[in-house]
Order: sequence, then structure tokens, then C-alpha cells
Amino acid sequence: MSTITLDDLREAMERCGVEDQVTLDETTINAELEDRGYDSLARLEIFAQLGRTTGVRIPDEAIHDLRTPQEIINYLYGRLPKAS
Amino acid sequence: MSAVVTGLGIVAPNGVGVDEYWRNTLAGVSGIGPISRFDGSAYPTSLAGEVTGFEPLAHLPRRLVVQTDRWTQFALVAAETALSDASALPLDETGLGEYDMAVVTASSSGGNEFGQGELGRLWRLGPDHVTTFQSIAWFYAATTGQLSIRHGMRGPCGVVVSEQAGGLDAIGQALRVIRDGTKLALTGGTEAPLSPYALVCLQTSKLLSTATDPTRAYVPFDIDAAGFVPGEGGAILVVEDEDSARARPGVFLYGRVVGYAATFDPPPGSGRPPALRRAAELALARAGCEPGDIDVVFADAAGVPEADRAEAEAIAGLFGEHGVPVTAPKTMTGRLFAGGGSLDAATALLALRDGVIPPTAGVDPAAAYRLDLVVGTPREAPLRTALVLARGFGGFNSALVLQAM
Repeated sequence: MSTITLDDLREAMERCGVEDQVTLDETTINAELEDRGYDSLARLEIFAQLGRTTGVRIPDEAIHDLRTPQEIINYLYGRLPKAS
Repeated sequence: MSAVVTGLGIVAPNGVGVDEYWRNTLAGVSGIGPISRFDGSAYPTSLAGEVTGFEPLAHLPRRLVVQTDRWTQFALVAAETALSDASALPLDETGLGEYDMAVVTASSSGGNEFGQGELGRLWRLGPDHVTTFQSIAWFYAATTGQLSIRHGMRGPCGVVVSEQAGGLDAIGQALRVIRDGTKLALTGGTEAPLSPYALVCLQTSKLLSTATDPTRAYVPFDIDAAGFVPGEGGAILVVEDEDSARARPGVFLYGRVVGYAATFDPPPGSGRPPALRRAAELALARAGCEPGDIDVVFADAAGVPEADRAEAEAIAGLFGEHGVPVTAPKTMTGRLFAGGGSLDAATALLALRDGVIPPTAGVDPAAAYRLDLVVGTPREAPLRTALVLARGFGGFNSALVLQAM
């Protein structure tokens, strides 16, 4: 798949069980995941799930830089394979 | 210094919660039946003591349920109940500091069901499909770790792995940390060994019953004994320094933990006797008790003839023939592995509280064992001191002495 949607991200977050209903609006998309209760393991789980969805592997070290949903989306967008 | 039990939390096949479990246990209600969590009919062992009606999401945040195995969920719920029973919630109103509180649990197989699910994904789909939470869900220390995090308990925490003796060994370790200055310890054990993978592992011991009649499948000290039925669940206890506990309003003291000992059997073929009796003698000595002080024995009750004989010899040798009432309420739950010893300890404390010995269910005692086995109906008796015995596969023996206040 060569795209990433907000629904993909929302689904990955909901599977961690931290929030029953994940909202990704203009405010929350820029809120730090750690502050929302996603510990480092939960954030790695989000990376792993989006890696499967998009085919783009997010290295574990990126956990220090990708702190908000927006930053994760930006990272993936820059690396998605171009549609042929 | 004295260590007292102030709270109990029970998750058992014949009752979730102390009141339901105790009522059913006294009434002889068994939780053993055909395995329902998966199709157990193809396995040599098709009966188990399953915990039914346990809804983790009714008690725990979804995030914890996602990240933990069933065995940890049992313990999280039982611990909450035990702390509430001990009038210790909210914890920050007790005045206890986070380093004053410890967690010591027992586990014999870790997070089997969770692990089996992830191993299945690894096999079918590949390593990218294994959840990161596998890393914290399956291993033996997961339950102690989650309890420690949830309740902010940073004292001397640990996990004891000694198969079916573990439930008593954890309480023994809690007794040590209390004597070393910790004020409160969450202790005990739970187990959830009823996934197909776990059941197959257990069958390698060749000690499991293959009977199909739930009422006759696990009959320790009976002439028809031919193995045991596995079960899930267990108990978590709050053990505290007595002075510290008494300072808290509303606290009920179930009893004192006065003696504990563990021994290990000599290797097969050594010619030396098994070491269960030695464990009982050491525990009595440490409790300052004579055999005549013991009012009831909660037997390990393996349900395997050779092991039943060894235990009966230990008990009759120490207390005399028919010298002390003996019971095995685990005949109504199956053997709960690391959960078994702690559930027996909790049951013994309820017996001390109410002055009644719960029955051994479904057993027609073999005369050759020379035991005063309490069968059929509960026996009322003035109870002051109880001895609880447990053995684990491979040679573990443990004994715990509990005393009414």
C-alpha cells in the first residue's frame, strides 16, 4: 500500500488499548503520545502496526523523534513507495 | 515482629470472590468440568477446573487487558479485592511509603495463552506480526511487575518459580521481607494453564487424570486415585507487619503467618525418604508448635497413588494414625499449580476465621492411608492453628503454619 490514512493511525493506536476511542483532530494530532498514556512499548507497537500497513519500517530509534501522531505521519509520507 | 494476613482475593473455578468461593467450598460445589475454552475432547485430559464468569474488562482498564495474560489478570483482580478487603485502598491514605510495600508472587508457567497466540502469529505471519506486548506478557515476573506498577509498590519484589509449591513459597518469601522491615506485601499466586499449548506441556508429567467423569477424576487418598485435574485461578493475600496493620482503622486480621519451611526431595534411587515430612517439622519448629498444636492439615493431595502414600505416611508419621483432621478442598478446583498453595492458605484462614473445616469432595478415603480425612460435609471445630502442605513436580516440598488471632 502506498498511502497512510488517519484511520490507519487511529486503528494502530486503538489496538494498544490505551484509549477506547482515539480522536485525531487538529489539537490531538500534535499532542505528545506519551502525555496521552502511550508508554514506549505502546509507541513501538504503533510503529510496528503502521510498518505492516504501509510497508515502511520505522526503526525503534525513531521513538526519540516521532513523539506526536503528526510526526509519525510526516515520517511515513516521506518514505512511502511512489505509485508506479 | 509478627506477620498477619489482612486481606484475601480469590479467583477460583468454584467461585470468584471470597464469599462466593467460600460458600461453594463449604457446600461441596465443584468447579471441575469439561474444558470449554477450546475443544479439549481430542486431548488425553479433557476435564479442568475453569474459571467462568471472569470479565477482566469489568475490573481492569483495557490497556492492561491488552498487555497481559489471563494469569496476570486473575492476579490483578484478586489483588484489588485483597487490598480492599484489607481496608488499604486508596493506598496513599494508608501512610505507607512506596518502599514499605512489596510484591512477591509465584508462577509456574507464565503467560501461556498470550504466548501461544503470539507464537501462532510468528509461525503463520512472521516476526513483524508479533505484538511488542509479548515481551512483557509471557514471562514469569510479569504478574509481580504489573502489580508493582499498578499499586506503586517498590519494596523488595520478586517471583518464585517452584511449580506447585510456589503458592506457599511466595508467602514464605513475603514473611521474610516483612521480617526484614517491609510493612506490607502482596503475595500468593495465580495460574492460567488451560491453553492447548500449556495443557500439552503439563501432560508430559504423566500425572494428569484422563478420567471423563468430573466427580471421580481427581480423588486423592481414594483407592481409585489416578492423577489430577488441572485448574486455573488462585489467591492473592495481603501480608503485613502486625503493628503497622493494627494502626489502620477498619482492618480485620485473619491470622498470623507463624512458620514456613521448604525442602527438596533426594534424587530417585537414593534410598532416602521424601522430604515433605521434614518441611512440615521445620515449619512447626519455626512456628514454635508441637504436632499436637495443629488443628487441621490442608494436604497437598496429589491424587497420584505413590505421592498420596508418601504424604499420608508423612502426616500419619508426624501426627499419629487418624491423629489430625486432614482436608483437600482443591478436589473442587483441580490443581492450580502456582495458584494452589496460596488458595489453600486463603482457605485455611477462612477455616480459622469461621471454625469450620471445608470438606474433601468426591473422595472415599482408602483405609490404608490412616488419615482422618474430612469428607462429604464441613466439620465444625475450634480451630487455632493450621498446617498447609504443597509439593511441586521435581521434588519441591513446602509447609506453612497459620494461626488464628
